[in-house]
Amino acid sequence: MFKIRLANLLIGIDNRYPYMEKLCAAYRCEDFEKVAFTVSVSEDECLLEQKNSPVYATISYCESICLYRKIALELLKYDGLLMHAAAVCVDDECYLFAAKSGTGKTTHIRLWCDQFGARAQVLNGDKPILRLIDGRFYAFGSPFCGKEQLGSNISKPVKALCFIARGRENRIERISPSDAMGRIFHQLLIPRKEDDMHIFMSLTEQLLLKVSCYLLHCNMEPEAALVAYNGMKGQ
Amino acid sequence: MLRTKKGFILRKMLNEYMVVAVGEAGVRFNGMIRLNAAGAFLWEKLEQGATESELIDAMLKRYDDLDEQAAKADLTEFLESVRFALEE
Repeated sequence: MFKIRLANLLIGIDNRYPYMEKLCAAYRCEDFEKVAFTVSVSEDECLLEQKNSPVYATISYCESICLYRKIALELLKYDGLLMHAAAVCVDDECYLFAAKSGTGKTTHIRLWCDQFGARAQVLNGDKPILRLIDGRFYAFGSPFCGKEQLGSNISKPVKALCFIARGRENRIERISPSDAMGRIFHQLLIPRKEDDMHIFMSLTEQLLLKVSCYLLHCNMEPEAALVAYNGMKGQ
Repeated sequence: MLRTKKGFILRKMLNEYMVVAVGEAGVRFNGMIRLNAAGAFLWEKLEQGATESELIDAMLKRYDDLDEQAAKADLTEFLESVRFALEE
């Protein structure tokens, strides 16, 4: 059992295997205040996760996946969502890139880092947490940040959400909340409990209304980062 | 009698209708079905349970300019799109 501070909340983790503790090292917190909630998973849940994994995964790793999913579902009560996206910050604002695995999210945020140097920082390469706080969405780093382990324990306001499609040329267009709605569901952890579903739907709606959404067609050339940034930075 | 399966619920987001799955239904169906207003109207009838002819009657009553043949075609298309969310 140990505690982490994630998305600005103190969370208890009742783990069975050591992997989770190691993974969360940068997020560990020994504060004595009351935890917002504690998560744990049963041996059966770990085994089921292992059975359903498309590639072989250790039981210790499977436990960490189950724990993160439980954390993400608890976060709904704190206006938090888990999004499958790559999050990069430039000048203290966070840009989220969402796409199917293998489309090149990671490659694209690497282009941003090359382009902007010290102005850029990867917040999370794979599964950042988004939280609505005082009317604004913030992205939070998390120990779960993809196989490349790109990320930092920071939080920044979300500037834009961008869906990526591969293209020969680089171009970006603003899309409507309704267009984004059809794309965003595949990128979010969808809850199963009816009460959670209601929170999830209204939170997702808020996200689509408050955050500008874009569609980027891009290749892997350095210019892609500039086209994306110039299209989203605004005034 | 046609009826929606337990666990499929109609919700509105950004003034659009969609059906999402909760509970056991959600384990098998991980996504959403978008419906237009006419689809949502039919879905609400299906939540109560309805036969195809009852649905066609309801459509004809609601849409003045719809004739029976067009209503049948629309209904068939709609039912096909939500088939997996209906009881067997």
